[in-house]
Amino acid sequence: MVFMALFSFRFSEELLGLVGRWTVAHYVKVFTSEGIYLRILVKTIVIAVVATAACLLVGYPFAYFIANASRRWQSVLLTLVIMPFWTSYLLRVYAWTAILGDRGLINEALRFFGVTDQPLSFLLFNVFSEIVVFVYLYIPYTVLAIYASLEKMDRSLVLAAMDLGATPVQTFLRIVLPQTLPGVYASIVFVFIPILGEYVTPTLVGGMSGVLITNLLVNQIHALEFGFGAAIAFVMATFVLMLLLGLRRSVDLERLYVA
Amino acid sequence: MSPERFPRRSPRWALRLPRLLLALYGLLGFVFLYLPIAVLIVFSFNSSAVITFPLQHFTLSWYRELREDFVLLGAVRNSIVVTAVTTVGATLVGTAAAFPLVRTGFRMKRMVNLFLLLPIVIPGILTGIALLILFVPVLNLTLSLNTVIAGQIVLAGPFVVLVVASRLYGFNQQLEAAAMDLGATPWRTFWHVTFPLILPGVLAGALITFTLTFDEFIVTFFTIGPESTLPMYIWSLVKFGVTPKLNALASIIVVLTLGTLLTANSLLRRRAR
Repeated sequence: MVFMALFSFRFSEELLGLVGRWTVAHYVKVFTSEGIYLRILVKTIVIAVVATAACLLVGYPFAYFIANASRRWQSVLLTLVIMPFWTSYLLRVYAWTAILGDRGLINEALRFFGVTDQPLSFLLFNVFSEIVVFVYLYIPYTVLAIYASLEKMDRSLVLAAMDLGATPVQTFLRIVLPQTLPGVYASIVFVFIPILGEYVTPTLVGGMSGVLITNLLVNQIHALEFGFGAAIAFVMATFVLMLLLGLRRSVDLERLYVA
Repeated sequence: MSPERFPRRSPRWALRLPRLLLALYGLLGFVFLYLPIAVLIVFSFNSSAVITFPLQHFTLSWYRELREDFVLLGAVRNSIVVTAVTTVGATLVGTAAAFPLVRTGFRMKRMVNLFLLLPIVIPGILTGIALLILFVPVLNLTLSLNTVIAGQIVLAGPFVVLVVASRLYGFNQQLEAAAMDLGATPWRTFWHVTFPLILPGVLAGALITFTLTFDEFIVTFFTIGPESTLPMYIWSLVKFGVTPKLNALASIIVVLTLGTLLTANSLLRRRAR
């Protein structure tokens, strides 16, 4: 019950930040002010979409690989997928500067093998590195969610489809994929939404071009512009809420978390 | 999908090839997941202060420096305190909140459930800012480790509610009725019947809270005062990019985690036998 009070607060108090004068000026500013906030917000959403799609594309075969392993191996592999979560999140992000940087692992390896003589500087401090790190951070969720739905899938349907002459591609698109859609939706909740709120990654590896809405948000808060910060936060929260309500039809959130 | 079921038109290797590719892909996936951690460990033994290649020579000095860094030790101590208090607090509050949610039927229950889940789904940065605005302009509190703990409880509590609630849903309430019929007081019934049955859920909740809180950055970032916790200390160094000590720290954490996992695993196996 204590919780309820706290949580009802959570949403009203974002508005309370605006007291003094009740005003919508902050909201007007979010949506106008030379369009910068709106533009960055849209950019954040686009990057999150791309990163989520990449997670799904890369993670799907990975989950398939785990689901196809023997029982014993499956539990080992799943533990290995989750393990990175238990090391410092900040340091895991930071380590990527040592991999993608001008004198990082990839560039030094390329030079060693004589592929390049100039370091490829497009690897770090831009949108590319940002997306790579997003995928790195959130792909375990995708793998777990898709693995779970692959596990539940009725394998005999696959055999039946093949027996009836379906090609592997047809079988995948019409039998496997529809049955694993819950996993795909689940990974949207666990990947897309957290990425919208990522602050560390754009700060550490995003560079100038990788500035996201969270960076603007934190700047406002640090400048003690609570009202304006709260307005940005509230716009983001509304977007997330609408997305969740939209997804509610296709995913049962409670199920998702308990499982 | 055993290949034997299909007419064998293609040679064996052609049937094996997809599996081989899949295994190769899986291997690459794990390389991707572990490369950053491997890099941290390698650099923790490297004498250069910045993490760039080529490697310099082998050294243990970063590990030595860790031991003498009082700021770090203080941050670790703070982290332990925050995590311990949060774990106890979130577990108590979350368990208590799970009961009315499962046992009583009231209107708007679905709505309440949804709101309860929000702090889990909503990005942490929003929760952090909401808490900051609640603590500072609204409640006029001074930011300290106490506000950090309060924030962490808000963040972790819902996870405890979820795991305990799932335990309560599969709970046979006739057991409680039986205990009461046999003359047990409500208090005794709780400790001897209810509590042992939900204990796995409570423990799981505590474990989740512990792992979540110890490494939590973004909510702490907004709710902390002049003190420092381990993630805040790491952040202060990582921003400037000179972190050889941190590599050593990360390596120690990896080894500890791995050790804990392996021991837990072997203990569980022994118990299963």
